Amino acid sequence: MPFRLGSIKLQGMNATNMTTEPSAIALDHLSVSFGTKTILHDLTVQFPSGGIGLLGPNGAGKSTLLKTLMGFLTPDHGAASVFGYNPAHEGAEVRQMLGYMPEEESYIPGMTAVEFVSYNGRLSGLPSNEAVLRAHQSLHYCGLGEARYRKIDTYSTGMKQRIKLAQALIHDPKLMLLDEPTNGLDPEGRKSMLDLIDDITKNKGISVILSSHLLPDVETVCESVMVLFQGKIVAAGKIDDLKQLAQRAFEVNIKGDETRFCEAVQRFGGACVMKENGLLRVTLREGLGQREIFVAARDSNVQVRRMTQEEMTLQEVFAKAIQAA
Amino acid sequence: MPVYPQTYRHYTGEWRPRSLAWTVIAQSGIVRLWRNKGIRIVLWLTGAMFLLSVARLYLAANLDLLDYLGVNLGSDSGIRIDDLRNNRITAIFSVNDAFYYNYFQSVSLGYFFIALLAGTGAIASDRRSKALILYLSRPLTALDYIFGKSAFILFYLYCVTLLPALLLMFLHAFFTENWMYLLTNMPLVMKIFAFSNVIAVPLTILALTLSSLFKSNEAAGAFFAALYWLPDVLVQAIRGLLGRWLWGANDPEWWSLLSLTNILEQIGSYLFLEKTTFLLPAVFHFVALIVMCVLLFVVLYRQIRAVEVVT
Repeated sequence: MPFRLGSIKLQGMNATNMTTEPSAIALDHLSVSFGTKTILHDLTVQFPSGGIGLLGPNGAGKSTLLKTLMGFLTPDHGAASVFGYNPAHEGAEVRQMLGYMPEEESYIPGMTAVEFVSYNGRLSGLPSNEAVLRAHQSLHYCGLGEARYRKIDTYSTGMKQRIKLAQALIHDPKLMLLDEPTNGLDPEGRKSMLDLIDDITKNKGISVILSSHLLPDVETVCESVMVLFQGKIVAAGKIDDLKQLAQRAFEVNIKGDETRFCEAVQRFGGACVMKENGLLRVTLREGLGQREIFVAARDSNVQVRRMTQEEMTLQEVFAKAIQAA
Repeated sequence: MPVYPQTYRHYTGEWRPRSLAWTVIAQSGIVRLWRNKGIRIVLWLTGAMFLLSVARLYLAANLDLLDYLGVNLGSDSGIRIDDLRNNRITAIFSVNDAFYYNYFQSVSLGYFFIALLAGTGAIASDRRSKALILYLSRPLTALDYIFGKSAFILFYLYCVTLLPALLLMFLHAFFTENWMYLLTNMPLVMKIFAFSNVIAVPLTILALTLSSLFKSNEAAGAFFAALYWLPDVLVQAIRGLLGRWLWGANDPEWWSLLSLTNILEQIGSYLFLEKTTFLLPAVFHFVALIVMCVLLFVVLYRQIRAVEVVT
């Protein structure tokens, strides 16, 4: 089913058009319910291949979206697409292209790592010999080469996270769904896991959807992000674009009548707040920038002595999007 | 010799047909179950019952030979070949439909324990270790998963029912050097095939359904044993206490539909013996068995979902 490739609406931000690249996932007015409760409301977005972060507080609908992308849930309205396949009707084809790393500790007890990973490869359709060969390679790649003949039951938390990644990789997926991949890892293990995911995304040509509550993880690995809140998209697009769009807050030091300056700023549709250190925090609506601040200063006859643009982290973008919603 | 780095690479080779995905689960299940000591013990014990049946076949086929050679069974026993020829004793060695039904009855504990050991842990262990999502996130359907799990349980159940029974027929033809026996007894082959499935399919579905409802193998096993044995015990107890009052002298034996063991017994006696165990026509038992299987399968199918696992 062809999708209408329109521009993405960002909450309180400029629309971003991403129609030039082939989309890894595309949602077209997707609504999904459990019983009488609608979990996802009219989601329309598309993302190109690469690292995609899925952010949102608990209950935002992240897991429901993952389930829908894997074909476990049928939409009430609209459709989802994974590399052009509709998961609701072509679930097996979609899952052939997907590698899923669940959040929870999932494994088959009594199996060694090689047995487990090759078994998953065979379930995906790899011939037995190839599954065993690739199991060794995947385990080496994920840093479990030395422990590949050990039973998974004896693995540490970090090793279990890695083997979940190895089983998701075994059949050479085009898209990986990683649900909280750094859960339970120490800082070193977390960095190592993120490095692996980064390599998968950037050097192996595999797209990744990273569902995480750790914003720095998403910021490290992903180029694009989708923020869900109460089943709706509150922000979506390239992380750099979002951060740039969100950077409309300025710290301004002026000489002159601050009240008149703030009135002038408000006429432009901005807001002005006095900070404790005598600085003014000026926020402008979208489409406005430094130029308007200088114009406001000229109109109110004050002198701008210093002005710095506030650096927003993804966390602030995330918080802002949630607040705006 | 070149050394290749063990690293990730893209796959460009062939894929197995998706329709065969269930065979991976079945194959792995057969191998993993063989490592289970309990299964091996049950197989050895049922193997012993099979050997006893083989001995009966051999003796049945060689009575004439013993007679020809003038061999007796020892003066102390007081039994001679002539005695063996009388109707009462030769009946023991006769090879007819009842002989094969006796074999099925002799391994009834065997197939119960195989279904218990192989079936009740099949899905419960996946649920316990949250592995169900790993299966269903592959290009597998819930039906593929159920077929795969059923296949290895059926394999072991056939190992104590269908395969030995057919082998007994083959051995009888071999011992009697009458290969036409196999051709002239095709209805018996069909009966063996039918009864093996009457035993294996319901036991497999019952064990898998209970396994899908629990995360503990032990709990699923306990319920399986209870559902298999208790209805018969309860019905017999009620029948003993209140039967005369409830049904009077004309007990239609409807209660036999409530117990799986009774249903199997009735269908088995209908297929292999001239007289059925219960007064109620066997068709009722057959319908009850189908209804039970369908209901259990619906419950089982509804349990195999990935939705609850992804959180």
